[in-house]
Amino acid sequence: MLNGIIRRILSAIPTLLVGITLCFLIIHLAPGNPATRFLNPSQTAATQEIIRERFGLNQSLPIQYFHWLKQVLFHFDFGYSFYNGKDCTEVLISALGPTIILSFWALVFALSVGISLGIFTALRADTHVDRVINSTMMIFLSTPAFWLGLMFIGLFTIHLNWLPGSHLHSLYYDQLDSFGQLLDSVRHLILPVFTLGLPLAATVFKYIRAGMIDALQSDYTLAARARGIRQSTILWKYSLKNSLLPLVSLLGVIIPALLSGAVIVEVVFALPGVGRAMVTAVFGRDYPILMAGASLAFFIVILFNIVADIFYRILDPRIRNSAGGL
Amino acid sequence: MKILPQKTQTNQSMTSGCITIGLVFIFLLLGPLLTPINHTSQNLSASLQPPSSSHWMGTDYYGRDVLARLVFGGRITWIIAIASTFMAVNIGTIIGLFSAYQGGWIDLIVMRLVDVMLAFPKLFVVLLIVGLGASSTSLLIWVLALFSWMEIARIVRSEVMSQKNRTYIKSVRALGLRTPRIVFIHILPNVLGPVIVSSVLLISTIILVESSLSFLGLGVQAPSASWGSILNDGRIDPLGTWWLSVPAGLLILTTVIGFNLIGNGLHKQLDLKKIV
Repeated sequence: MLNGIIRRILSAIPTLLVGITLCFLIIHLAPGNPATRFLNPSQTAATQEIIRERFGLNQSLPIQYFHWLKQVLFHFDFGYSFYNGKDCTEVLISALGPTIILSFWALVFALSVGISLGIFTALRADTHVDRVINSTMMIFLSTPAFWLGLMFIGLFTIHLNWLPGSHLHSLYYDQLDSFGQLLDSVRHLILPVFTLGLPLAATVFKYIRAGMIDALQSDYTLAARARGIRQSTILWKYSLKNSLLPLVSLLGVIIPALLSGAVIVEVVFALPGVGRAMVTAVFGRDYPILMAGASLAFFIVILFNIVADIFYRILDPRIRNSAGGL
Repeated sequence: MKILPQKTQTNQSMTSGCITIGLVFIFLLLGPLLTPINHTSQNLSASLQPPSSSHWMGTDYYGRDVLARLVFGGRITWIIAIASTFMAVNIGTIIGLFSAYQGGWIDLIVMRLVDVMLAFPKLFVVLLIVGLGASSTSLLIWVLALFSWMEIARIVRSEVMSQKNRTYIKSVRALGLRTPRIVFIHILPNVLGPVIVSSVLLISTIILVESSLSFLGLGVQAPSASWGSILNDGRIDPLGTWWLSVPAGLLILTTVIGFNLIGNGLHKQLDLKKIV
């Protein structure tokens, strides 16, 4: 088992290397040149050369790449922001906090709503309640997150004035007692979490509902029922367990979607997270931040893929015990 | 007993999807008949006007007619989505066919590349390339296609894998047919079903990514328009200037739901179990 886990982690190393190389290439081969950010026609040739040299942009692409890779792999150093000269790692680590908080609660929301509604409707398949919930979820699945966010802000922030629609805290956050601070943070998080979580909840719902309906119609459920096992035992012990399994591998799909969604939600709700930092960096052509951010996003996805794989194999005895498995 | 309701639902899904997409298509096709105004002509004295008889859907900050922009922007959104999907499906099908038929280390490398590319958060990467390059519609189409072919390649590969050892392929091989002929004439038609379903669903995904990019100001650039960029114009007061934010959002939503319904309908009709 342990051997298998180690093997899985080791097999991710080439993927990770190819991935961060692609990040580097994408950013450097995209039309436009990092140097153009600093250069303008009024500068003398000598000044332009000094600027290129200062940022290592006078070297050839392979040399820039190996230098960057060496710094990243051995020193975990992504360089300094072109925009404000800050250490990229520090900038991203400080931006990671809001993104993790937002994504975590959106995931919790998506899983709890998606799983409970999925089970609820699977047990009532083809009834009116099922059709209404199913259609509502289909709408959320197709709703652009930024539009949902805008509508929430328009309704709950501007018109009803119930909930704040931007930033993580109020301006007077420091003057509040600890309970007040908690309440303030929760109030700020409600709309972004709903915006990010609702489309995800719809995805989870779709999988769980389909899985549960399949499980409830399967032979083993029929056999269990024939043996006189109680309906609730069949439901919770057999059907649910089997329909939850695909959800673990779905994590591999949900995490990239969560990160992509976080970009939009952070921009709409002005949250200081990684997504917003990336969008700002794109507009400011801040190449070091972009490379660091893209590599970080890729790393997170790979990490969750490994975790999902390991969980999947722990949960599914067929894979655990097979020769090719862990 | 079980088959009957399922059949009805299949037809329902397909029918409502086709009607929805048909209505949006007619709106985009005949839109210019509803408004003679050009989508870029500005009139600063008529900025942010609510709907009226002269501007049925109101005006934006620059006094441009929102209805004209919705029609024009919708066409752009549709063209981008359909063109990128077409390219992605071609790339994915060719790579999937090639990889599965060759097998061995080529297959291993190609599939690893697919894994790596699937691990990139799509919006993240597309945002980088489009943002760093000069945002043009053709670049947008290319980039969206280059980051969308992987699912198709995977589906084609797994279908080909299951077909290539069947008796009919063995017998055409025994007849001495060349590989390209076997792959394109004999295998391809048998794997098209799942490809069609996932390409219809891909159109929805691409519409959502494109409108997100245009909303962020990185996709279609002014004075041109897409539904995402029109929505961005209504960002300051989403409900106060509802004629900017609500119709554009509803059009995106309707189109995406329409394509999803058609995809789901086709999925059930063709009785495919593998794709979700």
